[in-house]
Amino acid sequence: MERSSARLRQRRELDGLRRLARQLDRAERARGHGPRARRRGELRADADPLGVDLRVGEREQQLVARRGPGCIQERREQGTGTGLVRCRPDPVRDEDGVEGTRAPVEAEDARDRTLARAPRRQREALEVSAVEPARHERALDLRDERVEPIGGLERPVVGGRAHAQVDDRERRVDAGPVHRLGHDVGVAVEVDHEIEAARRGNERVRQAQHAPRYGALSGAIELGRRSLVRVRGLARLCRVRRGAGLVGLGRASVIACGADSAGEGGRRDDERSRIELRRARSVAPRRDGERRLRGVVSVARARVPERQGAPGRDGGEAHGADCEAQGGRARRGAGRVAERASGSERAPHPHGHRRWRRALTRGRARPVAAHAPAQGVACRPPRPPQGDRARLGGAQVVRGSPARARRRRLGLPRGACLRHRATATTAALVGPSSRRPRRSHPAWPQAPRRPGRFARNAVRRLCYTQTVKEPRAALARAPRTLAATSGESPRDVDVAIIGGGVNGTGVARDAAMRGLRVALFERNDLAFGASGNSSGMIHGGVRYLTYDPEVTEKSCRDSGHIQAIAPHLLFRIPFLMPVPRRRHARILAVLMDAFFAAYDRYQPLKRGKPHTRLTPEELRQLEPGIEGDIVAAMTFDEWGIDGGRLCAANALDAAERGAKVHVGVTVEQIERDADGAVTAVRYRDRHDGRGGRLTTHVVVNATGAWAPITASLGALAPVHARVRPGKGIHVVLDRRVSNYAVMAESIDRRAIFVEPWQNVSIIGTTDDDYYGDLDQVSATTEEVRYLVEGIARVLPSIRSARIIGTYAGVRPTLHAWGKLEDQLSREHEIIDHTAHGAPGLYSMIGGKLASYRLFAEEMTDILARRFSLSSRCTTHRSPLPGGEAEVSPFALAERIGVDAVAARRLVYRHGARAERIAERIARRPREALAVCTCEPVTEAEVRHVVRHEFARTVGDVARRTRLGLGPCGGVRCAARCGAIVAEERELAPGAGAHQALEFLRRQARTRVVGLGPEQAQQEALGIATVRAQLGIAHDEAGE
Amino acid sequence: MNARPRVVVIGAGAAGTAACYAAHAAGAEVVLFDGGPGATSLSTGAVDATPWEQRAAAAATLGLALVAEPLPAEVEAFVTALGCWQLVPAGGPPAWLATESGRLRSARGHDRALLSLAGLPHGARVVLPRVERAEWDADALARALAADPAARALGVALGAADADLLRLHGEERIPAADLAARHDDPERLAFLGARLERVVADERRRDRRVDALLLGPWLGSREARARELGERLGLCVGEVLGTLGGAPGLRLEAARARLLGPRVDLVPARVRSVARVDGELVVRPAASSRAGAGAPTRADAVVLATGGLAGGGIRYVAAEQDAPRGAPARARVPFALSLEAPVRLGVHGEDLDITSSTLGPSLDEVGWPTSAAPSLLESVGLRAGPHRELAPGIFGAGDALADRPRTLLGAVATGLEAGRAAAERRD
Repeated sequence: MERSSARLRQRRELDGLRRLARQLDRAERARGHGPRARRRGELRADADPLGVDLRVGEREQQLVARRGPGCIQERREQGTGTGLVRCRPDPVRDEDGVEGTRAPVEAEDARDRTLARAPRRQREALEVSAVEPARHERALDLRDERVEPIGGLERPVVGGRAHAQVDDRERRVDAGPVHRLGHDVGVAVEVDHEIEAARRGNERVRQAQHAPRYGALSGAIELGRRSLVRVRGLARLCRVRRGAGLVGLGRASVIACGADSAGEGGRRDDERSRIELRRARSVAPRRDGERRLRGVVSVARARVPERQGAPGRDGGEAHGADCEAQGGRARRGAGRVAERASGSERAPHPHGHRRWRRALTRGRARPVAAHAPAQGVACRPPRPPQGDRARLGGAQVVRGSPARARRRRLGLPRGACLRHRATATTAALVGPSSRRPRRSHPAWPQAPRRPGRFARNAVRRLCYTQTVKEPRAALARAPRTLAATSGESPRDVDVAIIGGGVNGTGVARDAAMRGLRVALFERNDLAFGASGNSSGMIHGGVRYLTYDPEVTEKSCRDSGHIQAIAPHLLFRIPFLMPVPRRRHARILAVLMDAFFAAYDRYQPLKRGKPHTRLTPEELRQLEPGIEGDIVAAMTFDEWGIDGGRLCAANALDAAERGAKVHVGVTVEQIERDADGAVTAVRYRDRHDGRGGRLTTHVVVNATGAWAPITASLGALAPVHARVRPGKGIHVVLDRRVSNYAVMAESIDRRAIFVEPWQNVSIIGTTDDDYYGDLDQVSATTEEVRYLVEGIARVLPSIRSARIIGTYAGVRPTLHAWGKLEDQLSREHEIIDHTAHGAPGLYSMIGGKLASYRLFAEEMTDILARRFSLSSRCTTHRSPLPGGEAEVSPFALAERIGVDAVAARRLVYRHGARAERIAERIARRPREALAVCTCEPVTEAEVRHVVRHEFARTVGDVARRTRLGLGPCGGVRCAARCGAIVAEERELAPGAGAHQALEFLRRQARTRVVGLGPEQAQQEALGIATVRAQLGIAHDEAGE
Repeated sequence: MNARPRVVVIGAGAAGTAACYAAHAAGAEVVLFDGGPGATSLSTGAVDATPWEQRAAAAATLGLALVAEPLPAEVEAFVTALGCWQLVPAGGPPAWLATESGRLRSARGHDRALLSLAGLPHGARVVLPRVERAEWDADALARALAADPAARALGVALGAADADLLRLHGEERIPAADLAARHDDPERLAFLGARLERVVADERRRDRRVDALLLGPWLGSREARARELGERLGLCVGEVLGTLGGAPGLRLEAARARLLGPRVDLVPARVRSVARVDGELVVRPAASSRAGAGAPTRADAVVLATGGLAGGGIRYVAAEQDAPRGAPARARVPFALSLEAPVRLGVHGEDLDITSSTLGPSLDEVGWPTSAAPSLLESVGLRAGPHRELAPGIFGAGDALADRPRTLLGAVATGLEAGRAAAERRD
């Protein structure tokens, strides 16, 4: 009796909580933060920084039709759904009327003449072509939108422009590829969506958002019964998900299904995949196709009860009630088919049940309650501390996601370990501002944030009041040991940051903006490591979508922030993902479609376009070089960026806000006092050998793959800042060989790609454990061939493309034993070495380019707390140097007398700061002459980057300006650049020649691994030139 | 049927020219196949017998003065006959050439248009006129050259002066060789002379000494116009050492045409194969050659002076090139002679062998030369026996030979030797 009354109480409590959740949700919507409000209002106000497209409200579907060259005319159409406004220049034809040929260098004169004669609009069009070859311009014809009425609905035609923003519902029911394949496979999609909703666990949301879909679902099921084959395939797919058969399905399918991205084996136990697996197994008579079908469908509707019931044994009554609720809801929505299905599938399979419990008790399972509905959470026992935390020996690890950090501050689920391990350090880290509400950036479109999240948090807060009480009190009582710095002896700086990658410079900028005195030390050069050798994308983290959508959201959101603060550095890279014919390929395509549809919801955050599904014909039309038996293809949208420029911009901004940036200066020792606290760093200039000592309160180790080495400089064991270094290489081709980025598979089924990037194409990437010298990472012949062979399966012409170089970097991935490189988490964490007896030393481990700003913000938040600063992060709002205003390359070109291509590249690299270089040229017109003609770089720019952007060698200049990285390999420009650098830095001219030789040697080493016939001859000629001009040996004129 | 031996020389670079010259001198009937520009046509104008930086390094190590090494008499005779190069006397100080990269380098000889600072008196001042061309930053170059230890040792000062040497719109961005070609026109050269006179007058009016004028590689493409200018101005006028593909290569080609014109039968065609048929060597031109060149040519001896990798005589064939499905069609050496001939390729004194890799060798470590060792890309070539004989009746010359430093005078020496041996060969 007592037990049942307890249940009753619990149930009442739950009902109350649900009510509360609904109220909070309503309140949230009323404030205009709901998804619908967002879709309607906020996006409309945004001007796209790149002028590409602009989403407008549902009621005003605006479409733009082109009429004549350069003429943009708006056509307003009343209708439902969302439309797109496009502002784009016309495709460019050259003088012969040939569209899509890149003007060779010799033709630049002709183009300049054309430009001078052309009317303004045409010039704008030509301007784009000047930067991006006309081929790629045609690529951007993706934006062309032809609208043809089909079935009474205006829907975009896949191919011309596939991705008009149609309301989700329309897309499912009528538009797009699902339609083409029939609704039976639509089942899979819907089921998947339904799983998504169920996973999110918010009952109310599910009803609101997905109720209409039940109609579609039932219809789909009926259709599915008529053509069971495909659905059967799906069932099989589910069944074999974790087995060997998975390998044949590829990674994308696995992602799409919601299993792990790990490929075979499925080591990361995703709750969804497990459930689906179990459900599929639980369908007893396997020979019967219909039964299988039910098994699949039941995934959608039977899983919530089982999940709620499973974790807590004593949650039986709640479980039963929920089942009822589920059943009722299903009946209302899905009609008779769902009813029938529920009849057979309502009760969870007993074996499955046991397995589920076993998994939980063994601690193997991922935390179910992480995304679980409120009613499930209440029953969940606290999670024991996880192994990796134990290994870290009490080090406070602040994991990447801000949501998690918040959760931890609140002591809520997933933070269970925190409750057990709260220490003084924890208190210092999460103490003072822990109750700060979630910050939203009104200037930026919000994610389709999970509705009701606020409410859920509130619910959790209430649920966990009891368990959290003690640690909360502990937090309140904890002395703020670290923050008590005011009484300490004065130091030269507050923070010394080691590492000039994107994280280091990001922290330097953020900290400087918040008023800290900052010094940054970089051993080699800004963006020398992983930051400058990445794929050059700030992608939205597609691969995390299924098992950790928060990471995706975070990546997308931060990608959007980077766009906002540095619009000049971004360029769109549309991706094509062909699905080659193989077993289950069509189903795979459908799943991928669904998967990318899910990704589409995050795209607005970074102004990405929704995905498209293409037929093979459309694919070949877009990218004629693609070969092979292709079933379908997906398009999705990412943004490219120049990592080197990003670092330079951050460092520059930091310096302008008072930070001291030392490039080419290595830290030799991190000094600590008797208590172990950091007191100073000893450094040495690697160019002139001068050393020094700088006292500091805090040292931030942001050295990426070098992190263990840097930690050891502070007499810490390197394992305390452990990374798993993963080497990745990229191959650079001499021009843009494709219109779009094309995904392909390597021989070992890894996803690789060739992408048009700035004015070259890049093939990437490998991921291998690396144990060599981090200063001397370079690609090998084998790695280049591995990539080329992989791409050649899709684009055979790549074999004859000319490789002009390679680059290699080492990723600082979080350390984990036993995982394949690709499976390693790309998340980041901050290690406070207080736990290792070194207060004041922090290590930033992991991370990726797309979320650098967030990582830096998290780090600086810790610093801010330590120094009791009240100022908040504004790095997402303040433009980076160059991002303040838009500069017209054409006006600039005319003003400073360089050609349009050079001006466009200049503006790309420097944004509004190009004006400063223009001022230089106005003072000294001679400096408008090009030093490097492959990648037009003027003398003024070289001098500018040496003077203002911390470049100290020819190689540094190359990283800032891409000088010498073009087809000539620097043979013509390195010596001249060396002379300029030597002059600017007041070195002996011989030193310039020495730097030039060093640069040439290094570059030659990156090229020689990808030699083809012409390259070999060019290389030999290059050697002959250098022998004649400089001599290969470093003789007396060297330094 | 012909009393004179018939020697076919393949390749019209320095070595091929020398081979023609020697074979003709030895009484042979010479046919020269010219397949287009190679390393010689692209040469920079510095003439060496051994790599200059090695000599400089050796002299510095041993603490000896750098002197010009002696050359065989026939090489000197050939250079005199060619007419476009100027050698310094053996045993004397070497020529010192200013490079566009801002270094002074020693050389055994140089193109006649180049300015050797070694010939200037101690304390001389060289003026570089400022010209609005991308590769020509007179101030920076003057500063860099003046700071070079060699310039200090020679006691030469350098400085820049304002000038207006360009005449037509767009000349600031045309290739240097094109600008040089414009100065072939006497009227244009007179314009240049007048402008340079103004530069000199301006400098002297400011009490600045002018002993020589250093210009970019712009002084004529048919023959060196430096001397004419110098005589007009009463100064030394000369060019800087430019990059590959400049005017010196064009002048060398013109000189070659003058030298060989009456002596050889020139066939402007690439050669497809050299084979021994019925005891005779048969040279087959490539099918794509111009009309009249398609017929096979019979020869008593053949000289392969096709150049090395830089000149296109040796090709690097990456394994992927003929591997449409990921694996090469057959195992083979990734380097190949650009024509079919019964000869062997080698490097470092050994035959090139099939690599134990389906995708060819790894060039990671050998792509770029170090001060200790040359690059594999400069070293691969034909393996020759005595008298540069590669196979019976087939001789090799110049950069086509393995392991030979890629120097012009070295190519000339081997060309002379091979040409003579070919002409004197009797079966």
